[in-house]
Amino acid sequence: MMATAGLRRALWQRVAARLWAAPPGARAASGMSKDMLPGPYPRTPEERAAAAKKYNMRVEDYQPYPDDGFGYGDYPMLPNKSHHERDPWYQWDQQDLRHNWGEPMHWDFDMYIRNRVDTSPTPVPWHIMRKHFLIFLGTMLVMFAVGEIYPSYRPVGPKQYPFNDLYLERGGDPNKDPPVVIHYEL
Amino acid sequence: MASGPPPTAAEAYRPNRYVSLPAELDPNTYDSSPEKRRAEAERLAIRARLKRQYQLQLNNPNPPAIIENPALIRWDYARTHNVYPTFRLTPKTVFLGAVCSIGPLLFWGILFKVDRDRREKLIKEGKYERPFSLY
Repeated sequence: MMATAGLRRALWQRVAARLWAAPPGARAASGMSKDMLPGPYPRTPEERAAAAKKYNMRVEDYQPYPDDGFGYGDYPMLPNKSHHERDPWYQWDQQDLRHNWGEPMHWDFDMYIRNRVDTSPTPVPWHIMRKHFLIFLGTMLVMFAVGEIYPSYRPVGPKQYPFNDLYLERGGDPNKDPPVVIHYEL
Repeated sequence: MASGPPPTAAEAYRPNRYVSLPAELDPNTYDSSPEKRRAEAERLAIRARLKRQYQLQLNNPNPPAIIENPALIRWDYARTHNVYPTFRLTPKTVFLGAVCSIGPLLFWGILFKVDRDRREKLIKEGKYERPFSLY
């Protein structure tokens, strides 16, 4: 009895020590202090200037997402251009990502990498491509629908089965003579 | 009334959410003013400073184990830890939340219920044509 009570107290002490050593909500002490991390939407011009400096941008270039409560905070709103459009001949710090060290990353950076979404300008304008595609798709769908409503095929007759209309396969008595079935008329 | 010549490819081009306007067709890039040049020079200065910081760490004879990219850390923090504190309930977010979470549940629930009730009624009346054999 006393041994199990002592064991239980030892376990509780270990749990309490773990909670005291690393209370819930603790972060690892890496190189960034709280003011270098993203925060809430900047309200005053001083906060905007501080945020621009934090993100390594000019104050005039810095434009946060509108404060609609969607959870963007003070993260800058960069143009929605994919990395396919970036200069392939410039010596980026990370050549495959076409990204420089310390450069502010787009919110959808992982979408705009060169394996994924491409927003490069197209040779044919988008609205013309869309129009041609919808015309083709619409025509094909209409034709298929009309073909379903009014099917058209060569004339057919009922299917003719051999062996006296499959008399034995349909369970007919083998001892009796099957009824003779003729599928033609003379 | 005769219409003029058809629009050139450059005039017909319209950027949207999926394609962007190339710099060659963007009038903002045509003639640069002193203000634009000063802005470009400032951007270049920031870029050069960052590049210098990075290259110094990279070519250090005693390089650090990891060269952390503060932009990457901030991006990751903003997308994971900063969304909940900066989120708040506005008419738009409440509407979108309801549409995305309660909407599909109600929609599919009602659809299945109505379909099943219709089939049950047909079976009770004996009019239901069974698509698959029961034996």
